[in-house]
Amino acid sequence: MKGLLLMLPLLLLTAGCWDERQLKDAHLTFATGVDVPKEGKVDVTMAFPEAGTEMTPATTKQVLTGSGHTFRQSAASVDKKIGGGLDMSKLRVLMIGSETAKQDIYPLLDALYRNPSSPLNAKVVVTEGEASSYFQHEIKGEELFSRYYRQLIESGEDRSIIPLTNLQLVCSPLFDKGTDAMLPIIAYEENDQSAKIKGTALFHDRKMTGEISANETSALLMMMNKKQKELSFTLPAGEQDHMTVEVKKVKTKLKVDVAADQKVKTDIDMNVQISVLEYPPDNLDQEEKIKTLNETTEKELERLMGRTVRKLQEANCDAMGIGRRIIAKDPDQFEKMDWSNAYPESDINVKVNVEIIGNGIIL
Amino acid sequence: MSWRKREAPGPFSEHPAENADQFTHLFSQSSDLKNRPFTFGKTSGVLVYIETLVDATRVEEHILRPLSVHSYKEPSDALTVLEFTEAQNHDKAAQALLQGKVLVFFEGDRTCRVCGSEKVALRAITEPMNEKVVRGAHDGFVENLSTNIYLLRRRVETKELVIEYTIEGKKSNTKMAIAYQKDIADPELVKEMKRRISCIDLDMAFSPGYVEEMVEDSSLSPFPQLLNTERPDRAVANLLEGRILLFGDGSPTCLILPVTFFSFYQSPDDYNSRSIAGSFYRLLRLFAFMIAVALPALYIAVVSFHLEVVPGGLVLQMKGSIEELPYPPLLEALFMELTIELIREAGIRLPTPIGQTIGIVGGLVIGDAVVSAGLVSNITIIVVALTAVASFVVPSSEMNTSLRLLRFPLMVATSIFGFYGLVFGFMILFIHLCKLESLGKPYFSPAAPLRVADLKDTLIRRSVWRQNTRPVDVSAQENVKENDSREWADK
Amino acid sequence: MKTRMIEPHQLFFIIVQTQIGIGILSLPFVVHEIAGKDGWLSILLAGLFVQIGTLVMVALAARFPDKTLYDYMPIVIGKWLSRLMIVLFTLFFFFTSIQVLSNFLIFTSIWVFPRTPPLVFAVITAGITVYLIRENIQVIARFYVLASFLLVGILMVFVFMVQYLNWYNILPVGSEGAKAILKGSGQALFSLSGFEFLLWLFPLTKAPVKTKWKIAAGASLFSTIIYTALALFSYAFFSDEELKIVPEPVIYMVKAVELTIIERIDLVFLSLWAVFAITSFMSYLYMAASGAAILVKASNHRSSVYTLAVLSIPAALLIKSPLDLDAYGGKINLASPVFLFAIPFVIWVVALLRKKKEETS
Repeated sequence: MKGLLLMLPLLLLTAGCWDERQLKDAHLTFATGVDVPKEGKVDVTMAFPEAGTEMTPATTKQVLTGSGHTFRQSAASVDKKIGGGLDMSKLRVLMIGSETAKQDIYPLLDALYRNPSSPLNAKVVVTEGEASSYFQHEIKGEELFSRYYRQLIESGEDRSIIPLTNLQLVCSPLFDKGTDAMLPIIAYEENDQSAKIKGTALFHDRKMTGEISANETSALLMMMNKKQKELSFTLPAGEQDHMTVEVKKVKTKLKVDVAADQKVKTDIDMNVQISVLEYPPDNLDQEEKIKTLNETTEKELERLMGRTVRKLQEANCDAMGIGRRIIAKDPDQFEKMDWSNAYPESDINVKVNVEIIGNGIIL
Repeated sequence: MSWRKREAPGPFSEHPAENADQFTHLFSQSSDLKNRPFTFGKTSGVLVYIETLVDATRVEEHILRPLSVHSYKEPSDALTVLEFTEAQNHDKAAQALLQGKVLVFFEGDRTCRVCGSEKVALRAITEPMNEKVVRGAHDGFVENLSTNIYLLRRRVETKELVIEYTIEGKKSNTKMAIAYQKDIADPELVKEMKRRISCIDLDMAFSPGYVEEMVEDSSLSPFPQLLNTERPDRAVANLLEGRILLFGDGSPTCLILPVTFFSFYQSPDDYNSRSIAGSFYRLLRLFAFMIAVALPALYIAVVSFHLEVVPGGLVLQMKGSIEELPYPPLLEALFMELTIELIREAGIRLPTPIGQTIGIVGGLVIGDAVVSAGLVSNITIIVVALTAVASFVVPSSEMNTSLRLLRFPLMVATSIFGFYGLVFGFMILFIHLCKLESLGKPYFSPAAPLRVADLKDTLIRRSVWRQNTRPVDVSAQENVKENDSREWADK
Repeated sequence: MKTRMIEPHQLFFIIVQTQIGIGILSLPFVVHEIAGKDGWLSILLAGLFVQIGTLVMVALAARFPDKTLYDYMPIVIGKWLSRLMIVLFTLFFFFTSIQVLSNFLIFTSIWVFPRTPPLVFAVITAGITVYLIRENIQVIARFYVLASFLLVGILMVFVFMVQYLNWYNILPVGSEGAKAILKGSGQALFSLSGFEFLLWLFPLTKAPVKTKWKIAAGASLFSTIIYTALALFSYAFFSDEELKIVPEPVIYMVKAVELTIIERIDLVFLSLWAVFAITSFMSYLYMAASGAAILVKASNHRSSVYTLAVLSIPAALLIKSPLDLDAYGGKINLASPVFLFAIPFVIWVVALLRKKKEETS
């Protein structure tokens, strides 16, 4: 009896390991682009790296494109080209072409949301132009597309020029009727042979409807109280001077009021503490000067915020979740109003209060 | 068995020569059984002894010489030996002979006198090779029982220290000793211990290893349930916690029971270093336990099931290192683990210089060659080497052997079930530890059953003046062991 | 024979380990289906019911401080009725254990091992279970306390997720209406069952009556808080609409996190969850086996453990899909209030009326 029991594990061994996914046999893709060239067709472009060793760093080995009716079918056709073992579980960056993003993006992502092994912490980014072209361009000094794009996005997030998001985090606003999604958008610069962060793509109802620049994204993040590690602006200060400031601390109060006629009024009240990074006229020890600088910065920031809000409303993108606030207060009222129409019409006022609290190591 | 079974030839004879003959017969004409006739005053007599067991000088100086001086009336006046008793029958006498004593017979006297004159071949008291400490006492137990008891008594000078002798092994007749602290040790435990020892029925009990298997609770468990040590300080520390010590003549190790899993992770060094450092090394050892058991299994699970968990920066390096390997990770890891075991087993019995050479040849040359031959990946080498180092961190050599065995089933389990294999493996392991008992006391205490207060001397080492109570698992009679030693600091 | 007693903290963790099990993954979704984003209130409410149930059980058990439910039932309600009760309880525990096991198997196959036959995991789980529960309650308690250290692993969800939460998702509190919340609490009750073990563990615990009550109430409170917090976190993380399509929200949201050494903690979390699921299964099977042992008048529960464990494997495998599981779980859910509340309450009332009490000797 005991002997038989001991045989049991051996039997299991011979039966094979059903769910084994050997790392050495897997064809890992780290960066994938999705385009919809015409309705009902999906092109998936995947970059496969050559595994590195301690001597040679990893490089991109192959870039393959497959097309089909669904994301999965296209991926399967890529799988046929590499000889099986396609593994998307280490995906770091998912790129969606800007034209593609103007249609409903959720059907493209559904396969990834459905698969238990898919990496929901992958970054999603919208590319200016076709996503597949971003794997054809040469990136100077970078061997791996995935690493380059991922670093680009992560550093952008740290500097608060694009919103912090990933496959998982973007899903919630895609579904939510009271919040709209945003994704970073990147562009390729032919002259420098590099990509750059362009700003943020605004979505409404799962479709890209507009975009804002990196600077405006920073302003938006400030309004959302979502400043990451760093956040800086260069603003006009006085006649011809410019001043670069770092935002040290933001405290935003967002108040939503629904009037009796269902007119929504949003007041954004912001307290900003900044530190001067660059200001050639110097002499920041004079109280007068600080006061005027505070005021001009306030004005400039308010202008920037106003522009951002206008663009958001033009794109009908409620990224700040004002609709969610209304639901939280009074769900019935939200049901009654047609938020898609009400939001662009709504009143959003921004008031900024700036305080310079630092000036570096010279005055 | 031979001489015991043989019918004892009745009471001793009046004639020394006849007695001597009887013993010659009893010992089957064994060549080293000698007798030496002498005369004491007017009486003639004979000394019977086993040449190889007696100290010739002592016999000459303290038995033969006084007997040849004719001025004494009684032999007991003459003999200058410490031990001077009488044997009742042939069995007792033969046993005395075997212990290296000399029998003295006189003409016209039926009593058999026994004089102590054993030869003692002593090894010097040296530091045990495999339980070295940095600071602290450098003496160790030796093969002689009375020396060991001496080492013990020198450290614990109380009358409550009880030593009880028994003889085990029907052929070897090994003298064993149980030592316990009467005012601390739980009498139930002592009773249970004696009961278990009294059941022993075997031919030889050369070393406590033989006895260990007879008295432990679960002999099929991979975990040792008796701590054995060659260090008197460790033995005494355990004795004073209320545990029982078991010594055997001819063996320099002392068995301690009941013990817990964590006893194997305590080293006398912990108490000689600062308590923060001691605590750090305690935690480090437990961490090493996890590494030694689980690291290769974890590696297998990751590379053959859950490649998602490897960070993005590392996964390509790992893939590059194992991409061209012909074998699955399990075989690769097993191959390397077995190599390490071979090197260890080869090195351990060789003289030190050669042992080191084997280590270098094995470790460096094989390791390097095996990677460049493309049989095993670099990562596997790192994993296996780390595991090997971690398994030697345990201060006890038994536990370290057990640990090294435990990782093989875990490796197989994870190669079939990935992380779930690890979960199943650890569940079985911990259930086993929870079930296990040492002398009826829970083995995995104070972790299971959880006794938070006792973690002070297991997971960490608190300052001695904060360890006020003895561990609960031994159910000591007297629980307080320290009382406000730093009272002065309060003032 | 010396009765094996357990200590108060062990009682606490036996109850917690039984309560915290498969519910970790799915409870927030299950209550959300009914009570919407106020599901967490349902869990809290269920926790309140459990406290009342605990109180009844303590009142009942305190009348017979040295006896388990099976021992004193004959005194209170007569021999034949009590035999019937034992049969019913045994069946209830056995069916619950099957539900736990099949839940474990189905989630395992959905999330990590889609190709491994569930039979393999069923056999291994049953094997490990037998290995532990054929021992006495002391050993089981020791293991449960040890396994409870893994609760720290659940805390990691709270630590990592807190930065992604949007509390506006759960506002306004109570908008789904009292009826939905009450109905939702019926669903949550199943996950909080486990406190009924008090009826058997009460005489085995070394503590005064009041302490035992505090411990049992504390254990249920603890589980309620953990479940409520998990629900709150998943409701705040997902928007209301998305939650409708995510049946295992807790593990799903963990997938968003990325650490420096472990890039995907969902796998680690799932492995920890396996331990909790298996300990729940162990508890129910142990209770079923000890009931069965009394029915067949066996001297110990070992042989009934073996039989029931073998039986549970094919039974759990019969439930093949999440849909089957819902149907089966629905039936258990209907039965559980009867066993958790009604029967103890009735027995208590009968004991009160008939003035049955253990003779204090």
